[in-house]
Amino acid sequence: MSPSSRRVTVLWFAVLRERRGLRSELLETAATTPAELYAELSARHSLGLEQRLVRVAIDGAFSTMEARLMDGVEVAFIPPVAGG
Amino acid sequence: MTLEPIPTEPRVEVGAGAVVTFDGRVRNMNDGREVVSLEYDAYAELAEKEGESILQEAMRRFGLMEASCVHRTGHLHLGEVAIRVRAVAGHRREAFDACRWILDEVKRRVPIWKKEHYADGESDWLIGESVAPAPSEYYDRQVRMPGFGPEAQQRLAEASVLMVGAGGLGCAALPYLAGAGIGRITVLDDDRVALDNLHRQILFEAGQVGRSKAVIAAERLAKQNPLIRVEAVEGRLTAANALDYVAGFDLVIDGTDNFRTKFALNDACVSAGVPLLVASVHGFEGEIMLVDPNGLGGCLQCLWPDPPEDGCVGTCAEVGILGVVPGVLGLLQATEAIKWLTGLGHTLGEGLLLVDLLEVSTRRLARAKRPECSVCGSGKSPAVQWTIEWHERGVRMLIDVRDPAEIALQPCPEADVALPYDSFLARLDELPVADGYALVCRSGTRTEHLARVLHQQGRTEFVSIAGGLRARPSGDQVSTNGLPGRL
Repeated sequence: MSPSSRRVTVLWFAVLRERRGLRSELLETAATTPAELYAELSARHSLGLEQRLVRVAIDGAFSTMEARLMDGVEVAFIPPVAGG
Repeated sequence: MTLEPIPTEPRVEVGAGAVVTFDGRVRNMNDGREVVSLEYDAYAELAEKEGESILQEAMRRFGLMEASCVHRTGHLHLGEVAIRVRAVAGHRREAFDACRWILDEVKRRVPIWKKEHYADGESDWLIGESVAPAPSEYYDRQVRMPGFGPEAQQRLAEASVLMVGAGGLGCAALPYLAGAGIGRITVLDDDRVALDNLHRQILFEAGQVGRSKAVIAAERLAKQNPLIRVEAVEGRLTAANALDYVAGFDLVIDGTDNFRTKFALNDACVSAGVPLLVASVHGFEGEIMLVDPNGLGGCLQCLWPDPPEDGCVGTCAEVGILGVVPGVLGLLQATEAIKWLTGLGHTLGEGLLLVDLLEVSTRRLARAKRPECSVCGSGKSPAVQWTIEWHERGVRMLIDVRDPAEIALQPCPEADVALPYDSFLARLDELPVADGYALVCRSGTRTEHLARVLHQQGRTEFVSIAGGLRARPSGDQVSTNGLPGRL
């Protein structure tokens, strides 16, 4: 692990889970915020859901896309869900 | 088979393809005892009034051409007709359904008592189907739960709940809310039953396709628990009318399937100070949260400051749904509702519960109120921004948003135009051009809501008159020079 990168667990939900094809993954990233991380993963996996429509939770609590990403955290990306 | 014409009743319209007549007759056995005759007693004035309203309702509900019902009173012998119901419709289904419905409603609602005379010389007044069960027995099993007791039951009996949407979530939550004894349940839905609903919307039957979901759901619940009041409202909740729908309820449950309605509901519930249980589903996953206007978790818009547009992630119609998923989430809503209303246990509080039924796992994420939220926080731009006092209206065009009936009772002669609250946002374009618009209603609640919604859309030329007509200086009230022009 390079000094400027961190290891995070990413959790995917609903439509993002379908598009990513995974429930969770452990990865190493140079991203310093959830926004950067989402941009990176969205581009890599063609997630096709604008960032403004995605909410992030870090270690079980809703956070902001600009929060500081620490090593070892669990990052959940949550798309809006409307079905009923 | 016959070649001869079948005798018909002469008075039926040619468009009437189906005439169903039902005769209920005195039979010789009931409950294993031999019956020799019957006696019917009725509270005639009330019975006829109630009967008339059942027939009127049947005409509307089933689109009948004719409906009639006759009930005997007095002493009847075996084989005599006790009740005759007749329904005339274009097609057989409506005629059969209506006939059955009228009969059931008459038995349930009309004050008629029946006494049976038996072969052994005894006789008995029978408990009609309209007689409500004993609450102590009905709720026995839940009242005896530790920590529940008659107090919790009483809290439920005094509670009112609005279920918005009788779809997958609503069909699961509603029977348990009714069974638990929530005193007043209102089911709001403008949708009709479709075949592709039935795998998940378990209150409906294949034979009910095309009928109103709210009406059928309410009928089912009323039969399930005659101790509670159930009301069907066939309407669609929008940003403009949401406040009217939710105001006054103890709890609102979101069973809708689109963002527009969910956010309108969130907005209205926060405005009215009514807690809201929001749930949504996607594939095998679902989520549920409680928006408590007095809580620390904030509202739906705290989570999504910029509400998503419908279609951005697909609806049940587009991406499919397993029936049991909204079922589970609807049951969670019912559970949380009962807990909230009785004060038992811990409710969802500031959490958002994510449920994954494919992996059988749940995850609870902590929510926090966003202080600057435009619905529940300071971003609710101080009311001042879109509120003015009566005397500050200046050159603005004055618009009365009350219903015509309200205006007739208490005219507001100063108003330039009337455009009712319900259709206000939809008919905005019809307003004459003016240098700003001041909206007035009775107390300022409806106009405050309209002005806020309009400001959120950037339409800052609309302002609400604080306190409505109640705040109008009394000197102004004597003039009665006519009603405003109606749009």
